[in-house]
Formats: sequence, structure tokens, C-alpha cells
Amino acid sequence: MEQSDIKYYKMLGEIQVSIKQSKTFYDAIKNGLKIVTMNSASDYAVVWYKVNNSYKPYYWLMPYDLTSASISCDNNAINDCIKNNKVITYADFIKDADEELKNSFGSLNIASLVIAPFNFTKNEQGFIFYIKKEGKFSSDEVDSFQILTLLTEISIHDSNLTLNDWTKNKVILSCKDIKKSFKNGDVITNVLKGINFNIYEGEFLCFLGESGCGKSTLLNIIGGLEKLDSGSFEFYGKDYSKASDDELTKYRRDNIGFIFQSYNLMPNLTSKQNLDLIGELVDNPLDSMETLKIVGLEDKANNYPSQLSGGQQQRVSIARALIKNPKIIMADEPTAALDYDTSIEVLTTMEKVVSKGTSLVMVTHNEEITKMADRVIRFRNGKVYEITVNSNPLKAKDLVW
Amino acid sequence: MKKTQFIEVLHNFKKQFVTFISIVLFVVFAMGSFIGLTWSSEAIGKTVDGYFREGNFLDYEISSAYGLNDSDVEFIKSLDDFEEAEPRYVCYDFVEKDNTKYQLRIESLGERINTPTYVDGSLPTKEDEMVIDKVFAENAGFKVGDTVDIIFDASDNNESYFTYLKHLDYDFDKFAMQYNQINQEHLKSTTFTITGIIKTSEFISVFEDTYGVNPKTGCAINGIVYVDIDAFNENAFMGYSSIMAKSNDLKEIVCFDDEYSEEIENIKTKNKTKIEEHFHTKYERYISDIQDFQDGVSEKTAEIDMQIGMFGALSQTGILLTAKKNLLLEISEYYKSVLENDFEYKCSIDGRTSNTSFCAIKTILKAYGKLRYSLCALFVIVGTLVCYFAVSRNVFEQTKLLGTKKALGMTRKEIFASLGLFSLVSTLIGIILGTVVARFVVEPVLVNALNGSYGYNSVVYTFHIESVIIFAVIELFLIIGATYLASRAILKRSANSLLTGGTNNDFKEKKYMKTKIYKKSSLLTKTIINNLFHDKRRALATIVGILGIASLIVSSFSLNNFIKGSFKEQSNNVSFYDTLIYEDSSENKNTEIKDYLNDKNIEYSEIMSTYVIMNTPDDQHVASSLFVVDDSESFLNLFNIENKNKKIDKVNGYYSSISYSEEYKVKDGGNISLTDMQGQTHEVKIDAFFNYYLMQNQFIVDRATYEKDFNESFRPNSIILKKGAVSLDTLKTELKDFEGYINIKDFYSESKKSFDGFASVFSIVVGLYIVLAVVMAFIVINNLLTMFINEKKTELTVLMINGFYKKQAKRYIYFDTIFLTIVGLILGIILGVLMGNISLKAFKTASTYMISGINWIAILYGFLITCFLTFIVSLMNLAKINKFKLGDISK
Repeated sequence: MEQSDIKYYKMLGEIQVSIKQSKTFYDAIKNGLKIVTMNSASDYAVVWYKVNNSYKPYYWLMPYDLTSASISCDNNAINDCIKNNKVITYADFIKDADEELKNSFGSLNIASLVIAPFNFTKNEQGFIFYIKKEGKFSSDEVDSFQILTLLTEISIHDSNLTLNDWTKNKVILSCKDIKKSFKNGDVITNVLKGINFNIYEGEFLCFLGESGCGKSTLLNIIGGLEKLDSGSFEFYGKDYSKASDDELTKYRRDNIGFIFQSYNLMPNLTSKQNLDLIGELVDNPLDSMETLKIVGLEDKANNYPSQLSGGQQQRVSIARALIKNPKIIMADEPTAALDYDTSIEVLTTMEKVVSKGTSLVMVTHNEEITKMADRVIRFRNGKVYEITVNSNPLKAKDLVW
Repeated sequence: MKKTQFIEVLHNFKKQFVTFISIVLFVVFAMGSFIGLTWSSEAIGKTVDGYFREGNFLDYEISSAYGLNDSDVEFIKSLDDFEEAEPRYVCYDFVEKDNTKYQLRIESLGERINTPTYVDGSLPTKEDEMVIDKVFAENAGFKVGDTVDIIFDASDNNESYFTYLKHLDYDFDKFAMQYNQINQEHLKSTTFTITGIIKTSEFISVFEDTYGVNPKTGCAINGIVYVDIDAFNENAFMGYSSIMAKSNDLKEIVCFDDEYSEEIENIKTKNKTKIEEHFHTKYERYISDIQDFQDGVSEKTAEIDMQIGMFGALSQTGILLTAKKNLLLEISEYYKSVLENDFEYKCSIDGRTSNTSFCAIKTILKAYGKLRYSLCALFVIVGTLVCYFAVSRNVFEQTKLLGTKKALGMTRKEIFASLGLFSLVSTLIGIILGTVVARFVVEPVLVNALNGSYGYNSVVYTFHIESVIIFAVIELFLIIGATYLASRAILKRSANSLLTGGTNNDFKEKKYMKTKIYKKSSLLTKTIINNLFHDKRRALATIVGILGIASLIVSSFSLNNFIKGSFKEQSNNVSFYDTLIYEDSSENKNTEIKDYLNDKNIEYSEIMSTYVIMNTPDDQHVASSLFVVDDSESFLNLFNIENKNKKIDKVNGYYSSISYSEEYKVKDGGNISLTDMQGQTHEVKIDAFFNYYLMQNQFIVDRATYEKDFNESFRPNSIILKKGAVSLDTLKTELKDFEGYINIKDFYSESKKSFDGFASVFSIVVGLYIVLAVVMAFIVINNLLTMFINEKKTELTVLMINGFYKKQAKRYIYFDTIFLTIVGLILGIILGVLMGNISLKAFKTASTYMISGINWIAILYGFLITCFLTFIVSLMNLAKINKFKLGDISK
């Protein structure tokens, strides 16, 4: 047996094992597709499933947020693929694909595309895109995609996992091709190299990635703390990429709440005064005592920060972010400085905040915390590496690390 | 200290260049002012002493009201303590050049004492030759070879009857023949040729063209000339004007040292009795001669009557004989009063320490002494503050670095060693540069500033390593101490606390928070109040810094305005006259002048202006003006004798300008010792001290008291004219040809010029203080604000992240600064007013008095400049908030 055959069979085995070990349907898809992509000629892959009268991305491995993408059920190529259970190949995607398919990838460069049919369940049909950035897929490669897709489908069906869909709301913030670099002496560091994603109303979104991957910089940009070099971010359709300092201040004042790793409360003011100080900035703030009640600190209203524990300070910090009734709360590693129990205490408070409909974007290093999120954007080298959707987010109390 | 630690300190000099420069500069300023002034003082003393030595300047001057002769000179020479003794004549006449009349002091040239230095030309060898003082020659435009006509000043005639005394030894007939010449010219010739330009040790004038005043008329002397002793008409004098003497014992002592003053008094005391005995013997002989003369008068007049009878009263011989007889009777009448009054024949011995030039230099040296302490204290205090806050800022900015060092195992001592080494090296560099500045900048500038108008022959500079070492030790102690205090609190903190970079935020509820005012305050106000109470050290330091700035400005402008205001006060409320006419009132020669003034309805007062020496309790001898008043009403209309307590409505007794009273704490009714022109000392009771701001002493006495105490007859010689009554030019033109007119003085302009000169010195002080205030603002306040903003950086960033506009966030800083500025300003203004008044005392002497108290203009300037400086510094620092990177909050 040739070496390539051994590798191929090994991959088939890995797919089966990883799907078997997955706890959720989403994980099974994610793990299976990752192995396929890593071991094949495909640069990107997207799994689509049918929702109402269109197909929506279920999981994707590409530097582009496809959360809002859709393909109609009337698309000829897709219909041909699903109804005839056949693999469709676009050797020259730009030339051969229809406009709907092309638009579904935005500005992403695609050279060739393979569409393979994939049945989520017996009644729920879907398909997978295998994408090549440059060049064409060979016929062997196309065949292998068909086999691998089929194997994944069979393995998932055998594992008895059920599809549980995340219901997304309206897009409130949209980032398009955000780039940012820093100059240190003669050295220019490209921190963000073209970031695309959306934030949805009421979602809990986590930014995950290693140090220096640009997640905090991205949080600063969408929080209106830093300006981007190119690209844009739109909040409720308004582009803030070229906003003035005062416009950004107004944006932050009216829409954004912040939570910091080191709390950064005003040391000379009590808990309640810390809230009032920020609450006074907006027209309809929440009641400071009510807000403290949300975070469970109504009895500490008159305490100064130095009289509170780290966790309590962070909860005051959450209340401070909440008092303006913001659209989005941005939290930069809010539990990094806290022990496990205190972190859970703080995360529980955040959970409460999200449940009341406020979007929460959290930067974290802690992979376990991402299990609470509706979606997780993983960054690598200044780019979105993957965006995953948690179909079954965990409760804070269930997190273990 | 390890090698790498040392290298790190070296790198710090580049990183903390402003701190380094601040420390160096202030050490240089302090060294320059203290050591520089100390050395300059000594150098000036030695230089002038050298100049005196070259000119063989007299140690003593012995004078007698009744004339001196060669036997007196020989007697002085015979005393053990005196090495040399030489007689001299002095008289006061005029010279005119380019329509300007100059009052001259004419002296006989000394051979071994008071020998002038020739700048140009040569010694006068004939009776119609003279040499002229360099400064006067330059001012009036005289040069070698010029011919000058001496205008005889008849008012400077010597007391005629006493003049006769010396002739008692001679043939009376011969004397009577010469009688008509006795009250004539002091000099044998009236026309002189200038043979040389000289510099004299006797008149080192600090204020360029001031040579003192004519003691008889009070007229300011414009120039000094020297002629050969034989050029004087000895018949016009009762004897030599004085005897100049030098002592062996004083040869080796620098005359500005205290030892010289002590020794000169010792020698004087030791020989006083012998000299007085000598003159007493002479007096007894004179009394005996007078008695003999009186005894022989009847016989002589009878003999003359007989001769007149022989020649006929209308014959030429008869007329001469009648004149002789009248003279005899006149003298006899005078001697009769002399014998009845039982006068005492006294002499005076004045040391060099009474010489006005010597006193002027000594006063300057004394002023330098006072100035060096105040300037040095100022620079040391400001410098230490600057160092403290500069180091505080550096330490604050290095908080994390210091935490890292601690965490890596460096001890507090080791960390302080590098901070201390930084300050040590900066101070040492400052000391070296300060020494160089003191020796090569301050000393030459100050020594040559006095040298400028006169020109010493050679300058002696001073350098003492001991004073450098002492001062260096003090500076090092202060700067290292300031470094220790600035770093102590931070170095005490744990490595962890330093590494987290946070400040001490253990904020708890305080008592003031329970007050209604606090509770009702807005959150912004509460935050600012809390910041102030929480960070008392910074608040206090900022207040001290602003207080320093305000007090420097208020005190400097107060000083300046006190000087300027003093002249205004003098002009508006004390002397209501602006012109002084010098006149000869003998034989009613001044009638024409008075008629003119009456015709023109010009308000005036006729006085006798003379000159006395005021002797202070600390052995200073201060030349002072004395006005003898006959018509009290007209005088008081032009001169306000008033102090806080009362206004004098009749001149009756002695009145003195208030400076003496202020300096020596003497109240109305106290005594002052005055020495008259005959060298006689009188203890006079001052009825009242009056406000008087011209920088000289002024005494006023009524005619009767003067005549009784001074045994001198009242002889008016000056007329003061009401301010603005007539223009000076008109007066000069109109009076020019009047009999009795001598000269005119623009009293107002000359007084103003003198004040302006004094005020210009204060302009330098104002400039210096403002520079210090600016330095305080840009180093102390700037550092404090920078530290405050850095400390509040996170809080401000959080506020801005949460939606505060930059201007809203800045309010947290500038409201704080405004509050501290207001507090600092109020305290600074109070301190500035006090400092201004205290500093004024440093410049006060026995003859200067200035207005003091609260100067609102200075306060206004202090307020405006302090606000301006604080505003600029605040603006600079608030601009830093614009540069805050909000994204750095999570770093």
C-alpha cells in the first residue's frame, strides 16, 4: 500500500473517531470538517443547511463572517446538487459560478469550488463548499471530497447527535476588512490583516486567540477607542471608520459599555457614585441601585472600591457598563485577574446581562469561557481563523477549568 | 555600586536631562550668588584698599575750627602712632564752562599723603596751574592745556575774626594794611592752566559725579581740582584746613576689614587726650593773647586818634588810620563776646572710616553681605523644592521599573544609591560650575561694575577653597536629603505594589463626607474634593509651588513699587518744592533775588542749608543735610514735617528724617549725635521724626536752637521754590546776573534720577524673581501636574472610554488646579506682601526709608502673572490628555 493511501485511510479513521467523541452536533460537524480541510487540497470549507426558504452557513472555516450569508433554495446549482445527489464543480469559479454564489462570499478570493451534498438528517438537507484560493481541484480531489462528505454524514448519523440551531437576531455591528498596524521605530507590525464579522443583537460573542493576535486591538476598534487603518465598521448601518474623536465619544457614550481586566473604578467614589458618574452621561440610564441589584451588590452601594473584593469590584464594573443601558458591552479579559470562584461569580453576572438582551463581546484566553458564548471568533496572526456557533451554550456555573 | 548599576545611572542623565539641568542650575545660582557675592565683597574691599594704598590715602584727618599751623603738623608727626602728617587747604569756588556753572572743591596737593594718580599730563609746578579729577574732566569737557577762570565763592569765607587770631603773632599794622584782601579770593591766581588729569583716592564716587556738598552752602560739588599748596592765599584762611595723617599700625590691614575700624578707633582713643591737650594749650595761649590785645586796645586807639589828628581825617593816611582804628574796635568787640561766652577750643580727629567714599564702599559691601544671604536662601529653597519635585516625578514615572528592581532582588538602599548618585553627580557638577561662575562671572562683573566710572589701577580677585567646600557640603546635604525625601515613600512600597503601578487607593469614608455641603455637591466636585483630601502631599506641594510663584512676584513688584512709590510720596506729600537756589545772603546781596521772586508771586522759603555728620550707635558716620529755618510758616508751606502721629505746624527744635528712627528704634524725644563742619559733636534731642523718602538724612532745626547749640550765626544760603512755580530755564536766565546768585539745583529731577537709578537695581531683582517664578512654574508646578495627570491617567481614560468628552475629563484636572491655585495665590500674596516688607528692610540703612505695607499693584501683578504661568503650565499638561491612547487602558 502506498504512503498516500495509508494517510487517506488514517484520515478517514480520524474523522470517525472525532465525530464519535463530539458531544454536540455542531462539534461533530466542526471537528469532521477541520480534519477534511487540514488533510485535503481545500483552503476553506463551509457547511450550509436549510432554514425556511434558503440555505444558511452552519459552520465555516474561512476568514470571513458568513453568519448573515444565504443562498436561495431556487439556486440551480444547489438544486442540481441536492436533488440529484451529485457533486458540482466550478473549476473557474469567477467565470462559471452564478452571481448569487459569488455574492455569498463577499470580497473573498475564490479560484475554484466544489459543492458536495450533505444531509444533516433524513429530512434536513444541506451541502458543503470546498474552496480553493488558487488553482483548480483535480478530479481525484473532487472524488475524495464526495467520499469524505459521505463518510462524515454517515458517522454523524451513527452518533445520534441532533441539530440544534442558534437563532440569530439583527446585525448591530458589522466589520468589513478591518486592517490595523502599529509602528514601533522602523518596525511596522500588522496586527489586523483584514477582519470581517458581525455582531448580533443580544448575542454573547467571544474573541479567542493567542497573545498578540489582535483581539484586544479589534475590541478597541469596535469599541471606538482606536482608529482603524482601513476597512470599516458600521454600527446600525452608520460607518464609524472615519469618525472624529467627538463622534466616537458620542458612540461610546450612547451605545457601548466597557468592562476591564483591572476594573478601573474611580477610587475616590463609592460603588453607587461610580455608577452615577457614568449614568449621568446619558438621557435614560438605569437606576444605579437597581443596577447594583442586578449584579448583586446593592448592599455595597456606599462602599469605596478599596473596601470591595476583586470580584465585587468587577461586578461594580459590570454594573457601571450596564447603567447606560448600552447596546453592546465590551469586556476585555474580565476574569483574567480573578480566581475560579470569583470568575464564575462575575461570569454569572454577565450571563444575566446577556439574558436581558444586551450584546456582549468578550476577549478571553480561557477556552472554557467560550462555551458560554453564542459564537466564538478565533483569531490567528491578525486574521479570523474560524467562527463557531455554539448551538448549546453552557451556563457559567457549568464551566470548569 | 556595581558596574552595570553605575552605567544605568549614567544613562539616566540623558533620560532625566531636565532634572539634571534643574539641579545643576540651582546649585550654580546658589553658589554664584553666595560664594560670588562673598568673594566679590572681599575682592572689592581689597581692590579699593589697593587703590587707597597707591594714592596714599589718609588714615586720619585732624581739623580745628580755629585753623592749624606748622607747629600743629609737627606735633602730630611727633606722636608715636603717626608715621606721616601733612597740612592741606580746602576751599569751595566755582568754574564756568559752556554756560554751566560748576561747584568745585579745591584742595592743595599732598606730597606723601593723598597723592593723586596721573591719568594724563603732569604735576602743577606753578601757582596758576591745577590738575583736575578724571570724572569731572570727562563730565564737563576739560582737558590738559585748558585755561579755567575760578569764580570766587564769597559765601565760603572763613570766619573772619578768628582768622585774625593767627595774626596776633604778627605786626598788626602790616595785617591791617592787608585787611581788604582777607575776605577776597582763596587762591592767589584766578586763572589756571590744567596740567594734568588725575584720579584721587579720596573721592571714589559710587554714584559717578557726586563729590558731596559744600559744607557751608549745602551746594552739591560737581568736581574736584588740586593746586599746589602755595597757590592758596594763606591770608584768606585762619590756617591750614586740616592735617592729613597716616599710621604705621594700619599699614598691613585691609581698610574694609573690621580690624581696621577697630584699630583706627583704638589709635584715635589712645592719642585723643594728647591732641586735645595740645590744642588746649594753644587755646590758652590764644585766650592770653586776646586778653593782651584787649588790654592794649585803648592805648592803641588813642595812639591812632592822635595820628589822625596829625594827618587830618580826610587825608589818605587819615582814612587808612580811621579804617585801622575801626578794625581794632571791631575785633575788640568780637573778642569781648568770645571771652564772655567762655568758648572751648576744640579739635576733631576723623578716621578714614568717616570718609564718604569709604562709607559708600563699605555700605555696598554691607549690602552685598545682606544680599548674598537672601539670594542664597532663595536659590537654596527654590532649588531644593525644584530638586524634590523633579526627583519625585522621576521616581513616580519609574514606579514599575523600581518595582522590577525590587522584585529582582535589589534592596531599597541599592535603589536609592542610584537615585542618590544621580543627585550627587548633578550637585557636584553644579558646584564646580557654580565655583567657576562665582570666580569668573559674578566676581569680575560686580567688581568691575564699581570700577566702571572710576577705574581702579588693578583689580584683586579672591578665591577661597574653604568656602567652596563648606557650601558644597551644605548643598549636597540638601539635595541628597531632598532626593531621599522624594523617593522614600515609593521605595518603601512592596515590589508587587510598584509593579501593578497603582497608587495607594485605600480610600475610606472621611469626616468631611458627612457634611451637608459635601453631600449636596455634584459628583465632579466630590471627586475633586476627594482627590485633594486623598492626595494631601501633592495638594500641599502644589499650593507651596503656587505660593512660591505668587510670593516671588508680589514681593519683587512690591519692592519695586515701594521705591517708585516712595519718590511719589516724597514729591506729593513731603517736599512741595522742586528747585533750590543757592545764594549769598551776606550784606543783603540776595535782595534782588527775593524781590524778583516776590514780584513774580513765586512762593518760596529762605533757609540755611548746611551739612552735618550723623554718628550712629554702630559707629557709622553718615553725611546728612541740615536745614536751618527762620521763617517757619513759609518753610512749612513747602516742606511737610509729618509722621503717623502728628503734623508739625511750627519749627521749634530738631526734626529728623525717620530712617534713623526706623533703623535704630529711636522714638520722638530721642537723641542723635551730630558732628558739625568744625568737627564739633552735639547730642541733639529730636522732637519728632518725620516721613522722608529721599535716600539721605535730613535734619531741620529752627534758627534760635541752631545758633544756641552750634554756636554759629544763622546765615541763609538757599531758597526753596514751590513746585511748578517757575521753569528752571527761566529762573537760570533771570537770576544769572543778580547779585548774590550762586547756583541753582533742579531738586526734583536730581532726586528722581537718584530714585530711578536705585529702582533700576530693583528691576534686576524683579527680573530675577520672575525668572525664578517661571522656573518654579515650569519645573515644580509642571512636575506636580504631570505626576497628577499620570496618576489620574487610568481614571481619565476610563471616563473618556465611558463617554466623557475630553473637555469634560479635563475638568477633573483643571478644577483641581484652579482650586489649588486660588489657595496658593491667597497664601502667596500674603507671604509676598510680608516678604516684600521684610526684603525692604534688607535694603534699608540709617539713611533710607521707603513706603511699605500692602501694594495693590504688586498684588495685581502677582495675581495675573501667577494665573498666567499656572494657566500656561496647565494648558501644556492638559494637552497631554488629548494624547491619551484609550486603547492602552488594557495594557
